[in-house]
Amino acid sequence: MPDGYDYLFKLLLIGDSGVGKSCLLLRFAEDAFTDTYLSTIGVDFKIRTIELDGRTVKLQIWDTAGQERFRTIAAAYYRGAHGIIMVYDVTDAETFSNVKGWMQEIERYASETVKKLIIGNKSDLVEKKVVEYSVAKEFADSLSIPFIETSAKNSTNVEEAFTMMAKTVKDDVDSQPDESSDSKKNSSVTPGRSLNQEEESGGCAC
Amino acid sequence: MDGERDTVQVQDTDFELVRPTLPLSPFGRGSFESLPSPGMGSFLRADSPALSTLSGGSSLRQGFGIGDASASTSSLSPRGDKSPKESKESAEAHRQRELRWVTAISSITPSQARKSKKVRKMVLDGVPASVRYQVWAMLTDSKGKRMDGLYQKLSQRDKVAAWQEIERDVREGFDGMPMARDGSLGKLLQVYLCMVPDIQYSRGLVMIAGQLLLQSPEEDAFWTFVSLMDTHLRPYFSNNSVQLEVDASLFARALESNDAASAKKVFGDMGIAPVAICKAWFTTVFADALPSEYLVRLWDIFLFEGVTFLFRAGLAIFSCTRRMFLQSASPEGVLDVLSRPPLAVLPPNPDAFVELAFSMKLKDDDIRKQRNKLEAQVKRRTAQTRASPMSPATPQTISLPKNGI
Repeated sequence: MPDGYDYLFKLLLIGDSGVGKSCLLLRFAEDAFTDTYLSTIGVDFKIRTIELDGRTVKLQIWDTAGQERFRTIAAAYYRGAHGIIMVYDVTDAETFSNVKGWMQEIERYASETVKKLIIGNKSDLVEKKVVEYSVAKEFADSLSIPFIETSAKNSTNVEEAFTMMAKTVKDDVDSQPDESSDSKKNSSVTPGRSLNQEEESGGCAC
Repeated sequence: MDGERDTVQVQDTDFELVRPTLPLSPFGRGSFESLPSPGMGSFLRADSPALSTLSGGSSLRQGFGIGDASASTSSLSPRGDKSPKESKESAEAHRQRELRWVTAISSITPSQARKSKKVRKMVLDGVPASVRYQVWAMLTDSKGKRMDGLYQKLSQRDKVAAWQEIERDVREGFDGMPMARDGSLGKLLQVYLCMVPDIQYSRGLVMIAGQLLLQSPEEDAFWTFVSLMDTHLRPYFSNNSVQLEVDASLFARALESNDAASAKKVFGDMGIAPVAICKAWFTTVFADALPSEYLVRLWDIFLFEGVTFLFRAGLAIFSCTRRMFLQSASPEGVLDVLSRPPLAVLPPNPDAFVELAFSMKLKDDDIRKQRNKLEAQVKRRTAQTRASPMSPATPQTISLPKNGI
């Protein structure tokens, strides 16, 4: 690839309408894409490159519409996703209980090995908060899914959330042996990593 | 020996091979890319062989698409019906393709998109369903047409004269589908007809707009529709336009040079007017003729190449239905085969269809030139016919009706 990166990860933001998926994405990616913010209807995507464990990770993040009609074509968006971030609104209990429904969508459409993360957004609205951290945490733990509360508004934990997701995916990818012998080698070998490890990065796209 | 080709058998065999590994969910069919809606079954004719595939939770393309380089034909099933390595590679290729499109969509000026060789190559290489509506919007430069607020404003207007026909055609074409249920399809056409009074309503408009609404949010679909009409199709629907007649005669000529025997049978022996066939195809952009996975692929290419690709697609259909209509004894039978070719005679996957279309003998540039020339000629003739018989004779390059002389 012309612009070098060690990994390309496709991430997906899902969750009910109005929970702040687009705001999270905008907050996380605005440095890279300030002027191409599209309508929140349909689908939006942004790219941001981050550094992780000394490697360059390109995140291709898809923001799907929560609108019912577009769930008919949702399958297309799940294809090839490494990580899926389920977002709910901490001030809206229904969006939290719907996370279960979104889990079903994932089971239906996404790859079995897809990594998941649950985000409780709008944590800045302390007064209105109805979904307690402990409740959500317990729920996430029961599913063995990482959980974090964020505020896209004051940018609390947004960076952390996406990094967390990327790290989970990267660790998973690194742990899987890549059988394809013709997979291209990384151009930049990080000192301390053996060549053998390089070849193991199945998601590596460079 | 004839008609019924071996491929059907091959197809069946392939189903059997892959069926046991398919997901049970009705949504989990193999081809995510091009079956955007669970309701797509209604797009298929009752007698279509694809119906059983759909209802059986199997994918027609499973037998053919695996490992195909194109996004639009590569099949995918998330539940490991392929070896892990295979699906990993195809997933990776898919992500790369998506990434290229995502980058292109944010970096290429839409008005330049159809001039770009790079975009053309990407279109031919495959358009992931996940970016399709944005690719279509880019190829039609629909943002360039967009006027914020206009859609809402025009939707408040009184119903257009054709409203009842619109409602009926929406019901017939898209019954039970989201764009029929939420009223968006009717509304889109209502707004469009308010905006462009020179357009004569016909069913094709519903079929075209419906395809866009299958992919896009409503207002985006509307502007892509407006742009698609202006760029390619509007003359087919305009009052007093002879574009369809012109294209039909050009098409007939193109068929003759590709396959004189077919042209003779259909236009000669059967006495079918070329315009009857071209109308069914061109004014719906093949929405009635092809299954959805073929259709969206055809649209990808058409939106880049323009109307000449409709000619190519038509020639391709003639080519693959050839044996059937040559045996047919009635014009109705021929028309039926051509307007709704059975799945079994179509090439095994959408990209094979596109390939067949590109292999047809057609000089695209000549068609473009001839369209302009012929249209001018027909217009002159029409004007002449309407004018009084006493009016001065027009140049002898065309044969005039001899009325009153």
